[in-house]
Amino acid sequence: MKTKTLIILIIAMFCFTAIQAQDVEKDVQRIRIYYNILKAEIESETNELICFYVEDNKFERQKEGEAYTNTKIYFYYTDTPDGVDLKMIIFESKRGIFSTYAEYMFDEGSLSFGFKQHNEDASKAERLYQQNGRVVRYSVGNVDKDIEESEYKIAMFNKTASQMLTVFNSYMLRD
Amino acid sequence: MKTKRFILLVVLTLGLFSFPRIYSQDVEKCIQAIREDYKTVKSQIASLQKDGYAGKFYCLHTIDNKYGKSYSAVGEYKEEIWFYYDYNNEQEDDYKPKLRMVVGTTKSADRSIYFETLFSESGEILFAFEQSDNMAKRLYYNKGQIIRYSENNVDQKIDEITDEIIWMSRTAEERKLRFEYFYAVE
Repeated sequence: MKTKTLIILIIAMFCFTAIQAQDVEKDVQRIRIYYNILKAEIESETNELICFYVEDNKFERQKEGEAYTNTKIYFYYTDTPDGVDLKMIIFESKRGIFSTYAEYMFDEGSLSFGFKQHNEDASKAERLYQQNGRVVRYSVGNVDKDIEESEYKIAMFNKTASQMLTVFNSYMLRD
Repeated sequence: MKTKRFILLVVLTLGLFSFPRIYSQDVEKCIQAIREDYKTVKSQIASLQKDGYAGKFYCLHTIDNKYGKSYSAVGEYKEEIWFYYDYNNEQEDDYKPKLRMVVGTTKSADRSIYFETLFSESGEILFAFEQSDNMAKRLYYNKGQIIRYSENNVDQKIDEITDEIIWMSRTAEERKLRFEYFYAVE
């Protein structure tokens, strides 16, 4: 009897894990489809997406002994009678020989995908997938990481996205 | 005793009459100082392109609707703002950017607005300017208090706070806040 229960339990756990993995794949797939559509729209510029552009250190000022810095941020959003809806942020930054490229994709005001890469090093590129604020997948260099163990890095991702959202919202208060 | 009282009355009366003049002189002095500061900052901004890496200020440039898309309600809309700032080099522990001037243009449908805001070294608003259609509005501040408001170079009463004054002050503060939000991003 005990062996039977144990077998059933193992099978149930196996099924549950498999279903969960399938759900994760489905969520990731959904996010990727949405991402591809959005990126194609941004690149083609033939859509309704409006770009709010920010460039820091436009005149390339550089003090003695300090590294050259330049940051460009592109906020893509739609403007409807119901209000503005932020879809994607593209962040490019240079500080001396270091560079950062990041993307933050939003779905109804919540971060659904984040990508961050330093010095064009794909082996350390971070990817965060979220569905309705719930973490679906977090990977570094295309290798999936344990979500609980990566709690701090995920929190930082969300914190930056939230700060960017604050910047965007402050500009959208029309004068 | 009567003479003493008379002298006191004369001194008080004279003091009362000369107070507005002294106050007005102080306002003029403040405005003169603001104008000097404004000229200096504007000339430093004008040479930024030429000065390149050795320029006086850093510049944060924003363009809303960079690619000129049509807005649902207004149609044509574009806003461009330049935030000019520097860092406080004297205090190493205080590495916060100091905003000195904001210059911008807003084009919304058939309306265009040009605006400028000058900030002191300590971040207080000194001067706000706004030009739209045929109206030029100027606000001068001293220690956070409005000391002069003019429309097309004609001074207006500031003892009554009008909607115009509130609106201009509020937008100037909001622009500073936008700049601060940008530097809060980690």
